[in-house]
This record gives sequence, C-alpha cells and structure tokens, in this order.
Amino acid sequence: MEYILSVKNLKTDFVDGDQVVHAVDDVSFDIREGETFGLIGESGCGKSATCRSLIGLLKENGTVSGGKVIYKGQDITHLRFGEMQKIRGHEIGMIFQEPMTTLNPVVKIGVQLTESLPDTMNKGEKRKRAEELLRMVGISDAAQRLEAYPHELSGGMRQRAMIAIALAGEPKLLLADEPTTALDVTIQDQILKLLQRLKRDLNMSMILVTHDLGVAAQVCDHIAVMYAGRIVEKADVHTLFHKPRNPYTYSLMCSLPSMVKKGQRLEPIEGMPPNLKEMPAGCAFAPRCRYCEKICAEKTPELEEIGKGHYTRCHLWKKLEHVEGIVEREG
Amino acid sequence: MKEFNYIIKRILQMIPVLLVVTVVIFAGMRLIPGSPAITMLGDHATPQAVEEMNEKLGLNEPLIVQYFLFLRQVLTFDFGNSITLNAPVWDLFKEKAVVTLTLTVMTGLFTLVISFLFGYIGGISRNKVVTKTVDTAALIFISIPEFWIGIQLMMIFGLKLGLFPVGGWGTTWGEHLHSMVLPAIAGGLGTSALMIRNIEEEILKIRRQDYVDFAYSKGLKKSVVRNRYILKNVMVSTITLFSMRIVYMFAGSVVIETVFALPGLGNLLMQAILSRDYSLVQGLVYIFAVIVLVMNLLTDISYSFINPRIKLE
Ligand SMILES: Nc1ncnc2c1ncn2[C@@H]1O[C@H](COP(=O)(O)OP(=O)(O)OP(=O)(O)O)[C@@H](O)[C@H]1O
Ligand code: SF4
Ligand SMILES: [Mg+2]
Repeated sequence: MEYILSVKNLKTDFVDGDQVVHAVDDVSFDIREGETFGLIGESGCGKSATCRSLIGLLKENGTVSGGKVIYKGQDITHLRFGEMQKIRGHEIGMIFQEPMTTLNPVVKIGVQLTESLPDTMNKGEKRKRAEELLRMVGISDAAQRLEAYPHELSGGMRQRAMIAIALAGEPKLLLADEPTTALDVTIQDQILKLLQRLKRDLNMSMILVTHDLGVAAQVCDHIAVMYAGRIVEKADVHTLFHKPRNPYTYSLMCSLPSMVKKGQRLEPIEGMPPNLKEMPAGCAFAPRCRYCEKICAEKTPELEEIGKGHYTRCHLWKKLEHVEGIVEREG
Repeated sequence: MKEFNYIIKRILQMIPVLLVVTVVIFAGMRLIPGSPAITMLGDHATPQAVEEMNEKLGLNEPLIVQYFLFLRQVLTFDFGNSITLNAPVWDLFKEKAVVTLTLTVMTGLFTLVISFLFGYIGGISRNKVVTKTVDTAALIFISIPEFWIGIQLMMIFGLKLGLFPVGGWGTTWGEHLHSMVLPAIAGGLGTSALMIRNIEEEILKIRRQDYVDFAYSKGLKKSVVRNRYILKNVMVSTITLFSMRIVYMFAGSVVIETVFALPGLGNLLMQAILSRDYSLVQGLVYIFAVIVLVMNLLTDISYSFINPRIKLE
C-alpha cells in the first residue's frame, strides 16, 4: 500500500438547469504518504469540485458519476453516511476555500473546535486541547478567542481558526482548497509556512489547491495541472517546472512574473477557459493555444505518459521539447 | 453599560410615539358617532338627564381641556373610573389581562411548536411529496381568516364532538387552559403557516451554506449538524418574524376573544367601544400601545442575545 490516496478516473457532474456540466472529467492521481500534492489551474477548472468529490461533499446538484476514490486501500467513493463520517475529519480533513462563509456564524469558535474532539475527553481536556490547537495555528490569545464568534475575527484569523478546526480530528490527509487566496499577501505567506510546518509536525499528507504557480513550486512534491475539468499535465515538481510539456502549463508559467527568468518576456494567457456548458470539440485549450494545429480542433488529446511519471494531454507536446528550466525554484 | 444606554435611549424614544398615540386615541373616540350619555341612559332619556350626565362625565368641558385631563391620567398611570362598569380602569385591565396574556402565550407556544415541527420536516426532507404537502397546507392556512378557522374549530370540536368548551374560560386553571386550546389554535394557525414557509425556505438556504459542508467534513454526526448548524441558524433568522407575530397575536386577541367569548382585554375593549365608555377605551388603547412598544423593545433586546452578530447600539 504505497499510496495514501488513489483517485481513479474520477468524474463529477453538476446539473445546471437542464444541462449537465462535467466539472471533473476522468481525473486520476496518486498521493504518497507524507507528500504535498498540488492541484493547480485557473479559476473554474474543477479544483474545488475535485476536492469536494474526494470526501463526498458536493453541493446538492452535484454527483460523482464515475471513477473511484481509494483511501488507504479502501474504496470510499460511495460510502454510507455513517461510514463516511468516520473518514471525514479523522482521516481526511478539508480546509475550505472561503474562510468568511465556512464558520458557523452563530456558534462560538470554542464550540466549533471542541465538537470534533473525541468523546473520551472530558470538558476540561477538550478546552485545553482547543486552546492548544489555536496556539498551534498562531492565535496567541487562545483562551479569549474560544469565546469569540466568527464575525469578531479578521479574515486571516478566521482562516487560522478554520485550519485549527480542520486539524482537531487529527486527519492524516488534509485537503487545503486555496487556503491563502482570500487573504492579503503577508498573511498568505504566514499561512503557507504554517501549513508546511503543521504538515511536518503532524505527519500529514496534503493536497494543496492553488492557482499560484509560485506557491506550488515552493511547497509541492507532485503537481497536477487542470484545465476545464481535466488533468492536462502531471509530474513531480522538478520535472514539471523544468520540462513543461503541455502548452497550458507553459503558458501559466510565462504569465507569472516570479517564474520567468531574467530577460524573458512576460506573457499573460489571452482569452478565458471555455464554458463547461459549451465545450469545443477537440482540445479544450485549442482556442488559446499558440501551438494549435488542425488536429487539435478535430481530436481530443488523451493523457499520455511521456516520461517516468510525467503525463501530458497534448497532440503536439514534442514541439515543447526544447523548453526547459524556465523556473528558479526557491529553497 | 452600552446595553443600558441603549435601553434608556429606546425608552426615551417611546415618549413622542406615545404622545401621538394619545392624540389619535382621543380624536378617534370623539369621531365615533353617538354620545356616551345617550348610550348609557337609553334613547328615551330627557335632554335634561343627558345634560346632567354630560356634566358629570366632564364632557361639557372644551375638547382641549378634556384632552389634557386625559393626558394627566396617562402620565400618572391612573386612568380614572370606567363610567359603565363603575370600577377603576386599571383594575379592570389587570383582571382581564390574565386572560389575554394566557391566550397570547398559548398561541405563541402552539405556533412555535407547529411551525418548527412542520417547517423543519418540510425543509430537511429530501422527499418531494412531503415538502409539497407541507407547503400547500401552509399556503392554504395563510389565506384563511382567523375568525373563520375559529368558528369551524368551535363547531367541530366544541359543538359536534364536545371535546372543548365553546365559550368562556371557566373558573379553575385547568378549565382556563382547556378552554384556551381552540382559541390558541385559531389564533396561531395563520402565523404557523407563515412561519412554516419561512423556516422551509431558510433551511433550504442554510443547507447549501459552506459552513454546513464544513461541519460534515469534520465528521460530525447528522444530529449535531442539524441542531447546531441548521436549526440554530434557522432560529436566528426566524425570531424576527416570530416576535413581530407575537405582537400581532396580542393585538389580534380582540377577534379571537370575541369569537370564543373569552373575558379578556379584547372583549373588554369591544364592550367599552360599543357602550362609548370614553375613559375605558382611552385607557385600554393607551395601555395596549405601551405594551406593544415594550414588546418591540424586548424582542430587539432578545435578538442581541440570540444573534451574536447584532449589537445593541
Ligand atoms: N454547484 C454547482 N452547480 C453548477 N456548476 C458548478 C457547481 N459548482 C461548480 N460548478 C462548475 O464546475 C466548474 C468547476 O468549479 P470549481 O469550483 O471546482 O472550480 P475551481 O477550480 O475550484 O475554481 P476557483 O479557483 O474559482 O475556486 C466551474 O465551471 C463551475 O461553473
Ligand atoms: S492539443 Fe493542440 S491545442 Fe491542445 S494544447 Fe496541445 S497543441 Fe495546444
Ligand atoms: Mg475552488
């Protein structure tokens, strides 16, 4: 049992009016024990839908319509509610994308923290543990904060509180859905460092969702790049950033100031990701791709293994073979 | 301290409102056709007797003087005597208030239980038939007038089945409560229906919130999520409507008390108006107004306890 989590051909659909939207389409990846796995891509490409699918928490109009999620060898895709609750929180925890709406507005932070602690603890122990958790995420006046309501905390504090709450059940795998996007830059950095430290201290594995390649380059071990509900490139972080073999990944890199080597031009990706309701035939990236040829609009490319553990979804990836080392990776 | 200041401020704000109320009551009474003296003495009273009566009642004074006399009563909370019942207005009020208060409390309790029970079932159920049934029933009851429901209940459960008294409120507390059942249902069904719809909608909205998903993601039991996340938030968003309706129930007791012949404030007020008992009407309406204002203040204060996001300022 090498992987803590294996996702195989996951498909997630949303019913939107009289249309069905394939928000996650044939997504597969494996997560090794102790690693940080990055899920990156522009807004709307299905990162949150993927995370929510893993623990069966889609909004009411969504369903997992295909594929499997295997956690520590157990298929958890369609578990009964009671069984799933044993996994949620205690095996797999999740930090949601929006800290402002993820805490219960009418219940004190302390209660939201202690409620997922084991029943074997008594009240005093729970309280002590809750304070400990808050201090662990860098909230100093923990005792007072336990008595606070969410609206009395700033965005950064709420994000920290949410992390503490998600960690209360001591999950082995943490799904962190854009844990920093809603925050301002200095706090982003703090939260990121915090997550890395916690992951190490608590011996967790982590899926980090982000649309910030710089962040991904800094903290992830393996990365999957998503576009329009599909994985378009997947590799270890070193390979991905030094030998990107998918035009979308490459464009993402070229659009990032911190990513481009000195002297190289900064080029934002033009256009928008396709509307999932009206997906073009052929390659979903074709309208924005500068390598696009006739075949791209005719045939949908398959995900293809082009090196050990390096996958790309592009008919013409060989055109990128000359591309290398556009990233200076810190640390 | 902030809370204390708030309450003082709100009480001071009541003063101008109450002044306007006194003017409206006073003017309203004089605008109703018919004179108290004639009503009391009968149509065949001699003009002389009427004149003497008017003198006795102080109705020969200029209107402005009459108004200030009334204002003085209001300020001292001594509303004088009822002309027709020959007893102090305040005593009459206290005697009848028990009935109306009991009715309001029972109506409120009935409404709370029914609306949360069915609103919750309708909102939480994933069964479309259940939701639709609750919804339709609620819609029907919203549109039926209270007095009609009251009469139907009285005919079926009072007259036909003999399960409840058809009028009056008995002598012991057991009888009191028993006789309040039908009136409470009649007075509460409309509000219940309104609240059921409201609660259903709120639950549907709250069920979609991220914090509910987050709660499940922590591995919490369904019952904890439902009580602490869904129900608690529903309560906060429904308490406003409920407290508005409680005030309405109190004021609306006039209708229900008349239908069920309950000897409460509503009944007393009706009697007072019909017999042109100026001092009794003026006193009662004024006390009603004060009670409604105080109830509003109390509900505003209670929000801040129930909804932590609201601060008294
Ligand atoms: N409840 C829903 N109903 C209908 N469509 C949905 C729903 N949730 C997501 N989608 C669609 O699924 C696609 C993927 O959404 P998702 O939230 O996973 O994107 P994301 O990658 O997390 O983007 P972001 O960076 O903005 O968070 C989007 O195109 C969105 O329109
Ligand atoms: S398949 Fe064609 S359009 Fe799609 S990414 Fe590759 S080159 Fe671009
Ligand atoms: Mg997202």
